[in-house]
Amino acid sequence: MSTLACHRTPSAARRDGLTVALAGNPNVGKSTIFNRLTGLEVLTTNYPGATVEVNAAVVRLDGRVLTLVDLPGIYCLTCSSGDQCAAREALLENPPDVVVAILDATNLARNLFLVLQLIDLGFRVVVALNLADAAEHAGIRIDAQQLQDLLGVPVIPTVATRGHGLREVLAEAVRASGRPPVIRHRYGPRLEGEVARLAGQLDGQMPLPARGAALLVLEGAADAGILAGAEPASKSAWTERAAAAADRVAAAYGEPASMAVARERHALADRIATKVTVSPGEFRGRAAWRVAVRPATGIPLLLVVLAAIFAGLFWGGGALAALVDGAWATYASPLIRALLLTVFGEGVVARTLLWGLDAGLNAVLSVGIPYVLTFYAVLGVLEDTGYLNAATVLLDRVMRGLGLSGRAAIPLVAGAGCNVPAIIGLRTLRTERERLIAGTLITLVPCSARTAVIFGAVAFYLGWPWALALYGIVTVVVLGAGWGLNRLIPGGTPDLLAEVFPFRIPALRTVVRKTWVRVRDFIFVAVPIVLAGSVVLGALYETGLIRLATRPLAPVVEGWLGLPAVAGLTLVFAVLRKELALQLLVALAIVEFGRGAENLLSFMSKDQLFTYALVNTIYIPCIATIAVLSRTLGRQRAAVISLGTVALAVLLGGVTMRLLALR
Amino acid sequence: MPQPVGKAGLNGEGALRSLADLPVGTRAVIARIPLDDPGTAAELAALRILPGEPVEVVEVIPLHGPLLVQTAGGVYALGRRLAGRIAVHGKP
Repeated sequence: MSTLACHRTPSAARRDGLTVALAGNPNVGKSTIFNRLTGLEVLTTNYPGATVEVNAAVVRLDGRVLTLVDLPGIYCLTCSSGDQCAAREALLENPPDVVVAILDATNLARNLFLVLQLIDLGFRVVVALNLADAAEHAGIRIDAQQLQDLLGVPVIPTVATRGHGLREVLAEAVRASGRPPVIRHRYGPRLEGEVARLAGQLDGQMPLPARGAALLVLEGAADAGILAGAEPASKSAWTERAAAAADRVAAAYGEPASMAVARERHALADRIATKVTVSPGEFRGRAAWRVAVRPATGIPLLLVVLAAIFAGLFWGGGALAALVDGAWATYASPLIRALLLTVFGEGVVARTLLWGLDAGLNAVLSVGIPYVLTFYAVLGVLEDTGYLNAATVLLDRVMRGLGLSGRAAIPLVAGAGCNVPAIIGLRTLRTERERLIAGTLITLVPCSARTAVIFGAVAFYLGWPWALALYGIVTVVVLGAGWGLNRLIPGGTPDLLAEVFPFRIPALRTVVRKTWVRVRDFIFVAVPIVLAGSVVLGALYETGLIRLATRPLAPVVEGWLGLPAVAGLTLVFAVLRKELALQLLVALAIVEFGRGAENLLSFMSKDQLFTYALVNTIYIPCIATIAVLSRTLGRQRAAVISLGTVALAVLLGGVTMRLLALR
Repeated sequence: MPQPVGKAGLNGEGALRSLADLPVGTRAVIARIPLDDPGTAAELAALRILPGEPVEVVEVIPLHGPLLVQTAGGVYALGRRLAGRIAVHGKP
């Protein structure tokens, strides 16, 4: 199950047979390999931090059962943000039988750093030398056999996007699981001397091999469970010895032990990379990102990208919506109507079911899917070109004003697709403060469901300038909220530290599949909720109970917001799913005024539609978002954020209605 | 703001400058990195942003935006404040 798809929570796969973890730097093709091997749709993107929870899947290979674990992209096994901790815990606290280290063949030396660290820790490693095609294209030639000899572990060239070499990697992993781990490399004698001395004092106490544990200790990264089995008394004695060893290394190298170990490992990675590189080639395409990060070109480009998304939604989504709506009215609707009347006869039951099966489904198809599909298709292209990654650099300055680093731009943009995975993605941020601010702002970012309401109601009936105005209001709200929170919450803004990846031409196949996975999840989760919601609302309407249900809402909805009270009820229902608001409104209008009354203007004025969409956009995202928000930031904060957005939405809605009335 | 501490500037190799003060296109050798946050220090080290390593400023985003640097390991964006706490040798 995909953790990035809309509104689903990940479930841990059962560990069975051999466990194989996929590890590697960000953007080297880990998720692509995982997808190819498992057929499971973990979304792959050309930016770091996409795999923010550890995904696992069970596959069979020649009768063996393998549990594959897809780790977040890491540069080293040292904690500095949540996703790196997740990778570290998965490796150290629940060690896999084999680690498949995935390398970017176009940047071998830097990638070997992690491989050496994995081998140091005593893992059985198999190396997948990925992006072999890109390396070849750049004229880079690597002697895989020699690399295998130097590292002492199997090395297999792979092209993940085309599936080349992946079965061999798994087969090698199975073979490697039957062999003891091999460590062929050694660092400088001074460091190895201290490591051996410390290792001698640790032997027998560690779940890790002593040398690996000693190195991890010197790197200052030994807190996570490596002393799991040790007695408390021996723990403290050992901590003293570790500190003494770190001091000796620091004295010998003139820098902290952690730096000394990193330096030695880089030097060795460099030597190995130089030895096995037959031809260094010339890697092109490094400079395209400059256009995106320089303000002079980057800001116009950003505006063009935003305009393209907007235009795509307005014309693409709008055309799709009209097409689906027409087809439904011509073919599906009469059929469903006739069927229900035949089975249940004329009466409350048939009319209630018509709400769900005719109006409800019609609304899902014509309001939800066209805009959600269009948005995800555009997002997929932006992700896979690497544009979003470059945009974080451009946006860093703006984000700092909100108490965030440029890194937070990625979950915020992801929030425009669906708030749920975006909030899960907060784990890539470094501080609790940053997660809190970004989490609050994400709930204010209109997700694709709210975009469907904005386009389906405002752009469709009032024209695109009104939709643009609504987005303008929301942008001001997001910026204002971030600015306020940055001043309100004590603490500083973390620094940006991120790799800038070269642009790539996105593979059509990947974009199409990614869009399909996201939309499919949207359909599977949305359809039952919309059906149930419209049937319940239908029952209330058909039995006349709706007057009782809307009465408590009347003072706020009618009195303050100036909307029909029944529209307020659809806003309450929309906490299940935000696009439900408009879908129920459409269903209500069809029942009230007959078909053709999808033209909501027979039901509400233009001002009312605008206010309605604005309130729907700003108040609490939806129940799934509240749930994931409580899990990520705690119940209390989730409650404060949710209630705060309701208050803000009601306040802004009332003010907007009054301002519109002044015209 | 805490002062950067770390590998002492090597004697006789000229004054130290902040990486954030270098104009685009300048190459320099890193003299020290901030160590007060072990997580950031470890990540800088893994990315090969380490004392003694060469670095080239390839882009400076105006209005106190990030610095983009090319190291042996790749191109990285560093927040201006972080870059300000990385010292480089005045003359490589």
